[in-house]
Amino acid sequence: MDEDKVKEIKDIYSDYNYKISNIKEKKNEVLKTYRTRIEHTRIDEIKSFLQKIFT
Amino acid sequence: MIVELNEKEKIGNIEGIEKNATLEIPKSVQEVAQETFSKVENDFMLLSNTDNTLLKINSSVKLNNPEVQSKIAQEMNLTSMLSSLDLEAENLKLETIEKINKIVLGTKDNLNTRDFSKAYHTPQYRTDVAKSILEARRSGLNTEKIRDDFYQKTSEEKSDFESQEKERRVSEVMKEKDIVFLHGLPLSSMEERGSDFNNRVVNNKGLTFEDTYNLIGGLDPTISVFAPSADRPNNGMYKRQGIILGEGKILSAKTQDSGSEAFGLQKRIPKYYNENHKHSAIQPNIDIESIVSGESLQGRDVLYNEITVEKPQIAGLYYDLSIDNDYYQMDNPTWKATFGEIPANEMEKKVQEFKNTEIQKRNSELFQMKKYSEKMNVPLYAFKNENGELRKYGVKFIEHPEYSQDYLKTNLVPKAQEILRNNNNNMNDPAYQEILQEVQKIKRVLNGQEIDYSLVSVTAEEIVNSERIFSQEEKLKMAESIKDKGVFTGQSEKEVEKKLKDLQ
Repeated sequence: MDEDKVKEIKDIYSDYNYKISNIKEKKNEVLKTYRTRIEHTRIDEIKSFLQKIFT
Repeated sequence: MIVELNEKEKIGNIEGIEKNATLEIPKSVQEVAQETFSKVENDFMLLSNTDNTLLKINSSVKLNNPEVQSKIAQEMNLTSMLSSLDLEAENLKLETIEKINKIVLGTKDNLNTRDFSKAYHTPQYRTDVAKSILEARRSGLNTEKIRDDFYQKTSEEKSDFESQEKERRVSEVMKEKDIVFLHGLPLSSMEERGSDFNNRVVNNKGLTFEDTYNLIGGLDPTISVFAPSADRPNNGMYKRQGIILGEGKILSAKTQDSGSEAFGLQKRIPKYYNENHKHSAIQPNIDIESIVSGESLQGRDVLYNEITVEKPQIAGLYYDLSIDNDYYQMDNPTWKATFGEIPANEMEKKVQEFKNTEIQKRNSELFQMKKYSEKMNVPLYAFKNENGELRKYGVKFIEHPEYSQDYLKTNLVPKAQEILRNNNNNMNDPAYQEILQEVQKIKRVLNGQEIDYSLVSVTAEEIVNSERIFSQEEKLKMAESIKDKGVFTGQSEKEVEKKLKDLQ
C-alpha cells in the first residue's frame, strides 16, 4: 500500500537524520577539541611572552 | 468493478501506460521521495565543510610557530578522523538514497523486468495489469499480490528467453539446420507491400526497395521474415526477392502467417496462433524445423510461414529463379480456359511464348537485383527449385564489357549498312539477319533482359560466413536517408531520433 511506502520512506529519513546528526556532532567535537588545543597553546605562548617582558 | 481512469491515468499509448497508470508507484509516494531526497541532501550539506572550517580555525587562532599547529593536528590524527567521518556521512547518504529508490522503483531486478515487459508485451496487456492495480487500490485491496504476480511471471518469461540464446540466434540456426531467413521486398511500386493495418509505425506507401533496405540496415527494426521451403506453393516465398538475413534473434516462429503487428520499430507481436503467449512478442518455445515445410498443416497449402526477428542483420539479397514447369504443361486447364479450343501445336506454341516471357521477366528482375547488390555492396543469392528441392546459390555474373551502345553504333550499324549496300537492300540476306540478331541480343543484354551468369551452390553457413558487417558510418548513412523520407509516425519518429543519436 502507498501509505506503507510513505511511512517506510519517512522512517528511513528519520534514521538517516539521527545518524547524520551524530556524525555532525562527532565532527564538531573533533574540531572543537582541535580549536581548544591551539587556543590553549596560543594562551601559553602569550603567557610566556608576557613573562619574558616582566621578568 | 470497472475502473474508469481519470484524465491523468488515461492510457492511450505505451508512454501513457509507463507514466501514468502502471507498474510505477503513484505520484504521492514519488513526491514524498523527492522531498526526502532534498532533505537528505540539505542535511548532508549542513555538515561543516572540513577544509573550510579548518581554514577558519587556523586563520582565527594563529600560533607564532606554525609547526606547532601542524604537530597538534598530527597528534590528534585530525585529518584522518575528519575524513573518516566525511566518508561515513557520504556512505550514509548514498545508502539512504538507494533505500528510498528501492521503495519507489522496486528492486533492480524489478526494473529490468519492467523494461522487458515494455519491450515485448502488448500495450493492452500492460494496460490491463495497470487497471487491475488501480482497481485494487481504489477498492482498498492489496495491490502487492497483482504486482508480485506480474513481476514473477515476467521474470520467468525473461529468464526462459535469455536461456534460449543459441536456439533463437539466426546465425546458429542457419549454420546448424541449413535454413535461411528471408524478408520479401517489392521490386516495383506496383507490387503489393506488407499490410498497412499491421504496421502503423511506418507509412509503407512510397517506400522503394532501397528505402526498405536502408530502414532495416540502418534502424535494426524487429521484422517479419519467412523460411522458404520447396514443399510449399511458390517455395513458400512471400516475395520472390528481398533481403537474406545473417543474424538476429528469433522471437516467434509460426507455420503460417501470424499477422504480426508492429507497435513500435522494435516491437512486433503475432496476432494469431499465439494462444500460449497472447500478451507477448516472445513465443515460449520455438521449433524452426517443424514450421519450415508446414508438415503440421496436414496437407493444406499454406503459402508461407512467419518468423519475427529482432535486431536483424543483412547478409545479402536474394532472388528466386524457380520456374514452375508443371504450370507450363499442356494438361494445365488454365491454358484451355485462356486460349479456348485451338489445335495442340498452336497451343504448345502459345504456352511456350508465355514461358519465354516469364523467363525474360525473371532475367530482367535478376538484372535489377544485380544492380542493387552492386550499389549496396552485398552479395546476391539465388534460389532454384530443382526436382522438389530448394537449392541455394551464389550468383556470379559474366560481364560483356564489349557490349555497349558505342559498340552497336560504331561496329554493328556500319557493318549492317555495308551488307545492305552490297546486296541491294535485301534484308533477307543471311549475313544481315545474323547482324540483326546480334544487335537484338546486345540490346537485350543492355536492358537486362538477357544476362549471363553462373550459379555456385552455397550453404546457409557459407552465407553467414560471407556476411559483411556494416560500419557505424554506413548504418548512420542508411538511417539518415530513411529518416528524410518522413515515413515514421508518432512514437516511431522518436525511436528513429534516438537511434540516430546512438549511431552518431
